[in-house]
Amino acid sequence: MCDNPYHVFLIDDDEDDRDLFEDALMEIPTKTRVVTFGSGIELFNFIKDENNQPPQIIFLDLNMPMMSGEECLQKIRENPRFRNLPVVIFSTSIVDPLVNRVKSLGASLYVKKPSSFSSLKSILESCITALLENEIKIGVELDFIVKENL
Amino acid sequence: MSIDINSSIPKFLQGGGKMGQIIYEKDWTSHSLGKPENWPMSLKISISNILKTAFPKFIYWGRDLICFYNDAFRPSLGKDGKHPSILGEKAEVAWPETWEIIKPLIDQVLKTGKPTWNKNQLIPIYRNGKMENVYWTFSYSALLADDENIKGVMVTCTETTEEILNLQRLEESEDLLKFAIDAAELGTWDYNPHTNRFNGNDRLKSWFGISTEDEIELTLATEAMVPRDRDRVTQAIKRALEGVNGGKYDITYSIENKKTHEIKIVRALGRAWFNGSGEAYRFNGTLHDVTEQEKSAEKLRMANQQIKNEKDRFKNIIHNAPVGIAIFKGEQCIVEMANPFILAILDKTSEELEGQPLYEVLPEIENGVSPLFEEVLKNRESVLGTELILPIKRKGKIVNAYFNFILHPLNKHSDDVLEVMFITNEVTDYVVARNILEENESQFKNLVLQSPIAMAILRGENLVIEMANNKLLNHFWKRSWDNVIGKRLIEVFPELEGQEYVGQITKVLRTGQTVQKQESKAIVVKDNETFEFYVDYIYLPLREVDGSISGVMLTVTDVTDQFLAKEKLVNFSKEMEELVKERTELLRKANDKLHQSVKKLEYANAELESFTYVSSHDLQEPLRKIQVYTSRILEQEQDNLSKTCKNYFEKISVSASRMRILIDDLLTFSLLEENQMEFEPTELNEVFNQVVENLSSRIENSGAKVSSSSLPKVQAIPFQMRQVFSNLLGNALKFSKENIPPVINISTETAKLTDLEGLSLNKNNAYHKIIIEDNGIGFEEEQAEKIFEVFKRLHDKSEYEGTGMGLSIVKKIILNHNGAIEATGTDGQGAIFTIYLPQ
Repeated sequence: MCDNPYHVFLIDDDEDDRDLFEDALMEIPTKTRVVTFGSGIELFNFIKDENNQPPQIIFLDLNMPMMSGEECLQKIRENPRFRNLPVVIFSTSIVDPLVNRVKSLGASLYVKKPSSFSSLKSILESCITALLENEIKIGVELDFIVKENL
Repeated sequence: MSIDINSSIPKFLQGGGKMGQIIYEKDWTSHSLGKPENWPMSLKISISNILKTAFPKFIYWGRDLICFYNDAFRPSLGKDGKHPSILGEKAEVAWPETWEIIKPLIDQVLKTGKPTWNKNQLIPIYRNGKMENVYWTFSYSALLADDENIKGVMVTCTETTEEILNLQRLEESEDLLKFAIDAAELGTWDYNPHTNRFNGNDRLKSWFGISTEDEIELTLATEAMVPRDRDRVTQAIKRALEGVNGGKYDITYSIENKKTHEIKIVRALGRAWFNGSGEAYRFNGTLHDVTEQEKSAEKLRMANQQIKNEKDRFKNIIHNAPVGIAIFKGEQCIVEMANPFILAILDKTSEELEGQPLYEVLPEIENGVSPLFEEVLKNRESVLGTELILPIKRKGKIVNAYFNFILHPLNKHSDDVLEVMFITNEVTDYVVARNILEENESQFKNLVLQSPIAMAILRGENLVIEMANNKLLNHFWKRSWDNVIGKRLIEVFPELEGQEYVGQITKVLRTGQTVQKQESKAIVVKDNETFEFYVDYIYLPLREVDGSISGVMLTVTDVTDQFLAKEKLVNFSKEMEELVKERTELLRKANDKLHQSVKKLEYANAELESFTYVSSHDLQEPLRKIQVYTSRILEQEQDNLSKTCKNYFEKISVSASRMRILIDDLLTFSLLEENQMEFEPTELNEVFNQVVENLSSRIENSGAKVSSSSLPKVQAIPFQMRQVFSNLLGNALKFSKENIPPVINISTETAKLTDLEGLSLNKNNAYHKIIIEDNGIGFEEEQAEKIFEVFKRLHDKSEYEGTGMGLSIVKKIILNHNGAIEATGTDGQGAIFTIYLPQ
């Protein structure tokens, strides 16, 4: 366990989801510092300024106006600074072709937004610890697609 | 005695030859010089000198130029001339004829004392009874007197008349030769083998096109020869110089003048001359322009060759002629010549025939041909004939053969024994063929007359009826033969005026093209009754040997019955066609409707797709939020909410959850078709184990026993297979009997052919049969089909949870995998699901 909070970014156009995300992170054991963006454009404006601290993990919604999550992921990976940054797709629906596409673009995990707050918390906790602390390998110890248990 | 004489002769005259004697014997007493004994010493010495020399000498002495001469001079005076009268005579008297010439010479010597020299001087003198042209070479020199003054002239001379005449004769002969050479237009040449130099006259040089300088190299001359002759000429020259054939040289060759390019053919004649050691020292001769002769000779050769060719050609023609040709001689008809063609006709070899009397070799034809030969021999005119029949022996058998022939006397104008040329062509095949043809023709005529097909022949522009068979007369024309024979068609059938037939027949006559028509309407009138026919007819042109068309043959077939029957058929067909048209129109309309339906369906599909998307995402989003916030309320406000309120939130939560499952299932179902994924080899054992793993908590909670035999490996989409087992196992767990732990058994085997009965599977393929059995509540037999329908629920919602889509999804996946599924069960007795998948 590290004393410094993890620096987490969320890109999601839905304000409710951003609030829920922040609330959930506040309540999990792992300490995080979160910055949210309403669009990919906001994200890129932010990280352009090198004075801003880069994130350690990014959560990315797919269904967004103007710049889709897919496009956004592609641009993140094009930037050498973020080539190896864990990026977790955070989407309402699971559509097969899309899953494969983002996987090939270098997404770390594909999380289906949970339908209960407790599930949201547990999923976020496990995602962050798995990717940042335990360095769990995707596809071996963790499925690429992460869903809440119903 | 001679001593006596000598003793009386003065000493200076002794030994002076005949002239010494003559001088002694001459009576000098009355002469101006007096007696010889008294002559001055100088004269005596001079005379003595000339008498004792063998060279002709003469002396003029003293003022009177008294003449003396020696024996050697005497021949020059000839016979019957001045000797011996001019001895002691004055020169003027002695030489009156030459005085004009010699006087100045004598005077010159007397005056100057210098000798003169004249060579071959013509000084005619009188001798031999006439004036003769005499040539002299002479010198006059001075004689001194006792006082040492010039007192006389001595002439030393020799007559050169003979040499001069010889020379003149030679010159004349050379002139003649030159003239002859010029007249004959000969070239002359002269070659020196030692120097390899060559000379020729101007003509020769101009022929050779070489300059007229003195001498030239032989090679220059050979270069003028045309190349093909050079070797030959060089060889001939070499042979002549080697002395072959006595050094004679005779050759004809061609030369080309390099300047004018004129070609001359020349004949060189000459010989080589050899010295004592047999070496050639000279090689000369003439060159004769024989161009014209050679050309004439060439023409002659060609003419002769042509004559020979013509002869050969004639022989060849006869030999190769595609007709039989033979020449006979005399009354006995001796065969002089017979060409291969006639030998073949007569089946004889030339050895058997040539030189033999015809009838001895071929006695069988004597009767046939001897009258013809006799006629030719008698009249000496050609006889010709056609189709002469002759018995010919061929391959041992006598056969009758037919011949066209000409017998032609060759030498009718000479008195020699008459030669007759026999030219013949065998026409047996033709005659036989013609006979057969004539036979056939008569048979054909009978055939036509008896033919069941109506026929007629019309001749000429007027279409005169030449022939009409019974069928035509009886069936169509309704006339008797006597009424139509030799009459014009239009005369017999005036009603044809205005019908097409006469025009068509005339067209055939004009163009020679066959006219053929079917189902033509024809009208014939007989005794005011009109008969109507439909006929097929053919009008054939009839040609003469020269190709002209002289008539038309008609063939007419009555097709009235067929025509009427066909008419009916055509009408029927037309009705049918109308009907088909109507139906086609209806079909088209139906198709249009179908097309519209398809359009609508496509539109509906598109809507469904958008529904899929909406349900997958947009519908889920608010639903999820309802769930999340409900869960937060329940979590955060647990203590503040009333029990009723909590219950309401529970119900909201359960409903939202159900709706979410419903949307998920709907989405899965609709996406099954859309996302056709790649099939891959799938271990069903693994799939099954994963499903059991996922359901482990439910299995444990219900105390279920799940057993399975080894499952096969199949070509499948793995996650769909997972869905199948998940749904079926889930159902088995769900629909268990109360208080009885579920027992689920899965077995597998290869499907038997009988198993496939009633299933829509390909019976040629092998299938896996996978059976999933449970001990649950089962279902009624009648429901076996319905349970696979979408949203079909057999049980109350409150009793068993579910969306009613699980089995529909299973069936759809199995169908996607080209398999089949059936359900069997009895109410309360458990359910059996049987899956068939291709092996």
